[in-house]
Amino acid sequence: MATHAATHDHHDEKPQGFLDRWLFTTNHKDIGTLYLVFSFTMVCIGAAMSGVIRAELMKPGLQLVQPYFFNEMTTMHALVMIFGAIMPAFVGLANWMVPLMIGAPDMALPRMNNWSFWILPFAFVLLLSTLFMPGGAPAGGWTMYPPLVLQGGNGIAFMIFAIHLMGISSIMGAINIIATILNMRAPGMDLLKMPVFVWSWLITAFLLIAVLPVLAGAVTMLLTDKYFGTSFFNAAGGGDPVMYQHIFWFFGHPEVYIMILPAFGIISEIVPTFARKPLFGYKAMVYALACIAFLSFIVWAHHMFTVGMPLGGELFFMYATMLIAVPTGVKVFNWLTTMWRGSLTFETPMLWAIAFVILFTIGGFSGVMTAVVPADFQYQDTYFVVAHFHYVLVTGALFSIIGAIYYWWPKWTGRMYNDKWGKIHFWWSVVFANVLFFPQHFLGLAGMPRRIPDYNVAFADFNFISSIGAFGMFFTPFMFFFILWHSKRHGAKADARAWDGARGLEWTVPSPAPYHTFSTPPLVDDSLLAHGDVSH
Amino acid sequence: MKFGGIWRKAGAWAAASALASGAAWANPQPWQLNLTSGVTDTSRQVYGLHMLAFWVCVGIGVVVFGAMIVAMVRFRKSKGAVAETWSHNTKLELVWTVIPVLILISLAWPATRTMIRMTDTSGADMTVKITAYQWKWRYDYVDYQGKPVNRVGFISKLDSENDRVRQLGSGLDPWSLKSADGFDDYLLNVDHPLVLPAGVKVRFVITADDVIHAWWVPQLGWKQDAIPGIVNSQWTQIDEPGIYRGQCAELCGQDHGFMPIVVKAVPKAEFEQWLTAQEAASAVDQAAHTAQTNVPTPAGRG
Amino acid sequence: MSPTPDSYDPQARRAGVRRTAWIAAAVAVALFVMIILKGVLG
Repeated sequence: MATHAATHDHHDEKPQGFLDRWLFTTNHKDIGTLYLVFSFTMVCIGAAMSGVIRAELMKPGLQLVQPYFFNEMTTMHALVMIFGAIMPAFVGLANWMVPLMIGAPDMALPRMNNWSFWILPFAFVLLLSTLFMPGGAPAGGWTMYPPLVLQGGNGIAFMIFAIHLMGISSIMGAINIIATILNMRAPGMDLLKMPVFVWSWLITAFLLIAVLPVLAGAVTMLLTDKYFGTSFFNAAGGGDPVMYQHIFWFFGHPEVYIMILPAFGIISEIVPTFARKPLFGYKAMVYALACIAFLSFIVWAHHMFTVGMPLGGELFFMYATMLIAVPTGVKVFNWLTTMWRGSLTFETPMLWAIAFVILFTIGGFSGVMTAVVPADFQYQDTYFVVAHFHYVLVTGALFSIIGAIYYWWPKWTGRMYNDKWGKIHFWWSVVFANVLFFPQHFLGLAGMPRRIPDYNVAFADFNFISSIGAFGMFFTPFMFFFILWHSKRHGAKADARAWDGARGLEWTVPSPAPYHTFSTPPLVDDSLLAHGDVSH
Repeated sequence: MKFGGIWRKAGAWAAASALASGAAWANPQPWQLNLTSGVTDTSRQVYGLHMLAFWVCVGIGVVVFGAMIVAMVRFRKSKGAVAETWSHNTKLELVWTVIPVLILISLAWPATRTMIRMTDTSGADMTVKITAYQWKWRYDYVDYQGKPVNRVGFISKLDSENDRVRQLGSGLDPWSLKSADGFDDYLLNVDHPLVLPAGVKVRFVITADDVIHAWWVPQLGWKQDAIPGIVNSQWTQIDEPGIYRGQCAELCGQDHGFMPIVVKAVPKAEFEQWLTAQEAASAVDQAAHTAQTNVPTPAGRG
Repeated sequence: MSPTPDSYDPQARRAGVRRTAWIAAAVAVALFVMIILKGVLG
């Protein structure tokens, strides 16, 4: 803030000591890097857990782990991937790119930014330490439904505190992003001229502030139910276990969009760049984002179609859920139309973006199917749902993050990477992700429930195939790491405008981006924005 | 090791192709790709909705992905494509907002009709109470054709042979377990199946005693959560006698994967015989129990 | 907080940032309290 601007105006150099540079940093670029490194670590841990899951499921019969440990793995895999990998990765991208894209010198609240990040490692040490505790890690599923979750050992308390910390971290991050976007834009950067990525994060930040306190409230009530004798969710004490589910999913559904709206923003940056054509229907894209965010608050009970809601409730949530397909469809059609009559090239980021559009749409299709209540009475809690949300979160959110890193890496480091290896990484991931997740649709339809460590022999073949896909996917983080490490060491120098079709303020600063950018506000030239002419 | 037996696979693929025609099986099949249409009117309607939604998605997918492929082939820079500069077209955007709405209405309409039908539990000839426990089911026959049933109820859990094979490191082959009709029933067999009459509308009242479970037999077309402190209702009317298998579908602790459901649907007359026999047996039990507890000597206790 | 940022005046910015941040934080705390109240009141 005041002191920050004053002290750093004296020099443009990075702090020298390691601790000064990373632990005490208030620089949005360094904090963005920290978030991304943290997220990468968590991806590896979460992937190891999914490795245990898929190894046990490779063949019928229990070969490797006890059922209770299997449940610990499914629970922790989800918590680590959602709160440790996907969300921090998007926050990291926001930290790096939002100030650069709106022409701000830094985030609005740089010291709080430091705090938001440094809470996270502590939160995850708490969460992961439960694996080594007597009674084990939480095993009641990431949704933490009572009464089951309350049967766990004292690891539950650690999980709840970890979630509180993650929530505080995310809320502070969201406050920072909103304050930055609303107050720090360069003159001329009107709200409706902002890049779609910035818009997507503004809306995501509102969602975070609206729903994370709800999650915090829900887990606090779990905590008091377990340790302080309350009966919020305990039927025997006059509580209601279904109320927990309503509260949880009131958080949980917007949470799903928290993990996908920034992805929409990223794709809306990458596609116009490599189509060399303005983003089609910029305003429609922004309104669609807002519309999806609004609808996300009135569809939560579609996660609970089988809890026994009254008919009116089932129908309302079915109609509302189906409506989401409309703005989502608008986005897919607009990306497609952006490509139409463009001048396409297929560098690595573009490949990930195209795979996102196709595979996310497949996840959207199974989403529309699960919205149909009577059919959902069959799909609910089966592998069909597992396939659905992994298409949305892995080939959706994760692919967009990888695409974003490939897209902005030259800006961050000033170096290009080996495009051939980037493409090998891409094709390897696309093939194995589909081998991993597509057969799970069949398993669910044939009747295999989710979250089971063992299954009838009829499900053996597709489980075997799915496990092969998982083992293939397991190599991808290491491939990615090697490509980026090699680029950092030996990559060719990148231009300021690393991609010839790239538009937007971030490409007007040198590559690598200097430690301090836009200390004096840039001039915003409308014709250089990614979406072209916005006067209509 | 049995995995990968070529004949089994060949047979399975033949079966899988039969599936495209909507053939109904009582049990999951190797290489099964789709839902089956099940054995009740409800399950057939659910299957119809599922296929309708599926073909709608396929249709949209063909258009969208087709257009993407065309774009990727035709508008490559390497082929000399020059980018246009237009960036919006209100008419077009209106079209692809309105058309999806119409498609969704055409999906929602039949779904609503089916849903209304599914929630109507009135006019049932029989009531069964299902209570879920970690990790077994209890079935109590409440009434049949308007008359209360006298104390017929039992626990249904994974049968002991299955329970031996499924232990970690048992070294026993999951393929070694076969039901009477030759189905590989690993993890899908119980000691006491739920016996139901075919052709009779049965109402279920479903609850749980400890944590949340879900009662699911795919052939009946639905699953329903079993929640402590809450009683849910559902109904079914099974067309054909047969054995229909399912499992608990809501994570309920370490043995969640090991609490199967087996429904044995029998002709009405056979069911009535069975029910009478059960009532008689429970009356005898009851008498014995009363007699036993009235004996003052501890030697009388087993 | 205007849709068109007209000034680059650091003073005005700081006031805007503070206002935005406090409002957002207050909303978050209020929601947390409301959810607990919802639990208490059923």
